[in-house]
Amino acid sequence: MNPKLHEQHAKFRLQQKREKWYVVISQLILLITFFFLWEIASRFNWIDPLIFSSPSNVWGLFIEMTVNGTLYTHMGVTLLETILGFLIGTIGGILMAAFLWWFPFLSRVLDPYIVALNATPKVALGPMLIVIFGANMTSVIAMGVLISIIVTTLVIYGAFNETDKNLIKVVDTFGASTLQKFYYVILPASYPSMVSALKVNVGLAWVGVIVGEYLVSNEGLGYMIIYGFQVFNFNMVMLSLVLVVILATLMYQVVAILEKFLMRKRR
Amino acid sequence: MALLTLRDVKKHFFSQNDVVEAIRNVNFTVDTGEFVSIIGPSGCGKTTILSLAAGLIEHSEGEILLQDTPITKTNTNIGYMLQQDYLFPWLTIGQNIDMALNIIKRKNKKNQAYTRELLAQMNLSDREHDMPSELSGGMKQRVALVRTLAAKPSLLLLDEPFSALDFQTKLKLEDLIHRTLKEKEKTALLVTHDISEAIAMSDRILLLTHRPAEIKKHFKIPEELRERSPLDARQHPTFQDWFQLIWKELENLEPETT
Ligand SMILES: Nc1ncnc2c1ncn2[C@@H]1O[C@H](COP(=O)(O)OP(=O)(O)O)[C@@H](O)[C@H]1O
Ligand SMILES: [Mg+2]
Repeated sequence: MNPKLHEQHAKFRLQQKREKWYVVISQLILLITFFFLWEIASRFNWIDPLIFSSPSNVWGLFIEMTVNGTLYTHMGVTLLETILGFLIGTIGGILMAAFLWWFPFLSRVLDPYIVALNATPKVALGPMLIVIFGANMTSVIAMGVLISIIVTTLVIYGAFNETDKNLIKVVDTFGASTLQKFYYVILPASYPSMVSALKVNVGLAWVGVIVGEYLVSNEGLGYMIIYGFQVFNFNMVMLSLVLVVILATLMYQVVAILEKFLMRKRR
Repeated sequence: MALLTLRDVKKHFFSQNDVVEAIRNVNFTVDTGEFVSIIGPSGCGKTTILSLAAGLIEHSEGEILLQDTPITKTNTNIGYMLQQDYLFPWLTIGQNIDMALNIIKRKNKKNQAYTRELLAQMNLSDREHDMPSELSGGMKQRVALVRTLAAKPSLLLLDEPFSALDFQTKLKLEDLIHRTLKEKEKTALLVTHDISEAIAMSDRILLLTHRPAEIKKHFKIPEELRERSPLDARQHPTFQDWFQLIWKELENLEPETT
């Protein structure tokens, strides 16, 4: 390469790198400012410290609950419920979609009911779940599943049906069985839809689990929020909220990385 | 000897409000080792005839025989090549070809070696591990041919396989496919709306009417064109006469009735 171009390229790269750093630094500053202002506002009573708590109080509670071990239990329970709700909702939705694809008659019969179920705010069914599964963790997980499984079924079933007819014709000319058609064409063709369903379902599972814990639980981060609210311990509410934000973001990132990994051969 | 026979074949399509008469009455045979083309205006029922012969759809009346056996479902003795390559975009070239062997449950070392040999004859050996999106249209159609030949069919049904290609690629591919099929002693039934392509490649040409399809005319291509490769045939002095003749017949088709 000619030296002048080379120099320009180096300059360009430096510029890009610098801009990237500015973004990261700005993001950090924003975060620190937020907590700093929160602390100051609380100390000087600009906001009611009893309601809005303060970073230092939240931190104090965090240390306390970490030391006595209760925080691990709450976090563990919520994480377990969310992961189970997410997995069962996603896998169950895909299985149901496969079932509907396999039995077209059944899918036509069930169509209006699935649409109705999808339109129903699933949270409204919470009390029913408690009656069915009892006031325990199963109900919470069921809430996480319920909120994601119907929409997953609909989206994946739609993807199955939108598979290019000509790709199916190709395997038909080789005399493919229904199972072969599903395995070799329908499933891989719908793979991107399934992977993007993962990302949507992480968010939905969190909604379901937190709401589920509001309703029945005596453990978990959702429980901490409701309990803290009832006993007017807003340190606990805030701590739980911050943890939910952090954990949900982390889980979303993990799924995003998983998505990249699963899609590495596709564009 | 007739490999494929269609006798008094009729086909209607049904929908809630309509009965579409696609094939009125079609009679023809394709002998072993022959290359026969069907030409006709678009929408006249060419793809329907191939789908019937492939056993993909059922005919309404008449008889369709492969040698002496009625064709009722798809059969590995019959290969079908679609208008476009329709390679599976998520599989490599090699995997695309292996899929055919997987579906007919004949994936073994010997058959795989056979397909790789075909791939080499198509000048695509070095592309085995590439994705379809990395190949040009002509290359992909060559891969699709290998995939079709993987099941070792004796009869090939070709549905306008060159129509999506640019002219130069098309000419080269005509030659390559013609040579490959003759070498392997395959019988072929080609559907096209391109008169030159039909003359250049075939031993016989069947001209269809507008829908509902019937065979309007039957042309036997003379030896001097048949013995030449498609590219050379196009240069032959009589080629143009044949083109004119068939062109006129196409022009003189009754206008569409329905
Ligand atoms: N599955 C089907 N249902 C109803 N009509 C069809 C169907 N397939 C083809 N046809 C009709 O049959 C006629 C012939 O179609 P086709 O064989 O695809 O024509 P070509 O391949 O010659 O262009 C067209 O009028 C088309 O609309
Ligand atoms: Mg057609």
